[in-house]
Amino acid sequence: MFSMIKCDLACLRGVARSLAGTALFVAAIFALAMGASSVLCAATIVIAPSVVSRLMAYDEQNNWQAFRQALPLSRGQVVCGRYVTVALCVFASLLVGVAVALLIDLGISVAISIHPDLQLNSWSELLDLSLRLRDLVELFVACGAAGVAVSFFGLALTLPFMFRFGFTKGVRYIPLVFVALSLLVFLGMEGISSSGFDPAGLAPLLENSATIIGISLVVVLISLVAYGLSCLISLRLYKTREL
Amino acid sequence: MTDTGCAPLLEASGLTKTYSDFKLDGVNLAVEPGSVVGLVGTNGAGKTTLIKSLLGLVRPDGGQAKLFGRSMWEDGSPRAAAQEAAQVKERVGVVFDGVSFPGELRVRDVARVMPAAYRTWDTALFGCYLERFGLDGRKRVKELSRGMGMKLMLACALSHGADLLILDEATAGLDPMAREEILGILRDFMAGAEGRGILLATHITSDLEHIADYVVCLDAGKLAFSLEKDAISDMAGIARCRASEFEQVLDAGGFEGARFVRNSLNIDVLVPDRRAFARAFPHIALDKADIESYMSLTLKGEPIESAYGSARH
Repeated sequence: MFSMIKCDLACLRGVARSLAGTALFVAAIFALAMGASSVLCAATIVIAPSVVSRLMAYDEQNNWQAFRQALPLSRGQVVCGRYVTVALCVFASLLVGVAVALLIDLGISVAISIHPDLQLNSWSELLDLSLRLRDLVELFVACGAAGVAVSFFGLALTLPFMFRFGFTKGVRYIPLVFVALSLLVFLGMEGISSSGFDPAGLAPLLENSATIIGISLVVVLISLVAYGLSCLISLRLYKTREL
Repeated sequence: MTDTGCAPLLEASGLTKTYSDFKLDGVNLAVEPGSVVGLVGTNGAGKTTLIKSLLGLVRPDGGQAKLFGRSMWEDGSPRAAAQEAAQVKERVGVVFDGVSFPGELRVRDVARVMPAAYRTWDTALFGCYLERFGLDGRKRVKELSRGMGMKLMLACALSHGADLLILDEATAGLDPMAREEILGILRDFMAGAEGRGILLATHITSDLEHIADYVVCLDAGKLAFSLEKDAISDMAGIARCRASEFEQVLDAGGFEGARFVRNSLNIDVLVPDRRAFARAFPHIALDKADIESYMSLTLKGEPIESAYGSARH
């Protein structure tokens, strides 16, 4: 498996900077639009599909996946290695996003301390590190967890299709999956609202830092379990695929 | 192929693979230690399907495809077996038709990818091949000419101590100098250690004249012939007969296995034993057969037995 991870990382090496740059650029736009640097912690939402599409597209270039299967790598190693590589990229992008968000916050705090009359609207309210550290941690954890969870859920859904059909063919099925999923979510929400349950009743729970962090970790954990199950499905699918 | 008493490096027996528009039908093939087997055939004859079956890239529908005595198809096999299969692949160098790395990779990236896959990878040897072939580490794979790309693939196949090379059209699209250089490298590979072998699938049959010990020909998914190369180049011949001479040949009989093709001016007859034919018909022009003409007459020609009846009426 480590061989496959090394293979994938070597393939990504040449495009790592452009991937990171694109992800940070997109995340920065969202951060500016929402007035919160913590959105950068969710930059992984951009990175995950970029990495997967890049690696899967590489697989089909010059029949690389067939040649790779002629190397001393088992199909199981290929699938598990790919899942681990993508997961590593997700966590690495999370770390980079957090680091960049902290740097921005720090910079703005310094700017505000030097020029107290500086008006940065919501930024100035959020970014006084000395006063709002607890809020900042909550925001970072919540945004980071949301980014990681969305990434892993998305990957868990898409990767089996890619492993079964390849990138070019597999990518055709993915919109259908997401439409079906959106429909399910919509129906679920309808069901909840028709049952008389009021989600606003959960709001007091979110006032507690420990609860927010706990919920975030549970969501990440569930997404990781889904990712693991997806890996098992991909293993079965890829073992029967003719290259 | 002669029995050397050792297990074959590569073996296909009764190999069958069916697609909607093509069937590889009960093909037998073996590469014994110390031998170079040339695999020839027209486009779509099944050479690549055969190679993919041997490498475990496609699942055979029937028969067996083995490398070093082990099937490479992993479906349903336990993890340990899959890992053993991966270990077998350490001993196999593969070159497909064209460069097989993502186009964005640089040559120096290939030097990072391959050691990750092969435990026996020899970085220094790979560096020597890059230098010998004039491959620039900064170049991207997509920037390489076909010849340079094939040299890169060959450098990869030769840099991990393989005992068996499987080459699918490795010399196609190369200029004669580059082809000669690659054939020289393959000869060096065979001379480098005992028990090595090569399966060389190619359309360029002249390459096989220089290097092959055996020639296997596929036609429409079936085995057309499997012979020692010497049975073609030393034994077989092509008689250039006029119509009257062809009648004499038919009347004489005794050339079972011969095949013929009618051309506008004469009739070419492929005879398995040209010396015997020359003794019987010293006045008929007779050329040595080469692999290309042998293959052409075998695939396009009619068995001489089919002409006996028509000649006698």
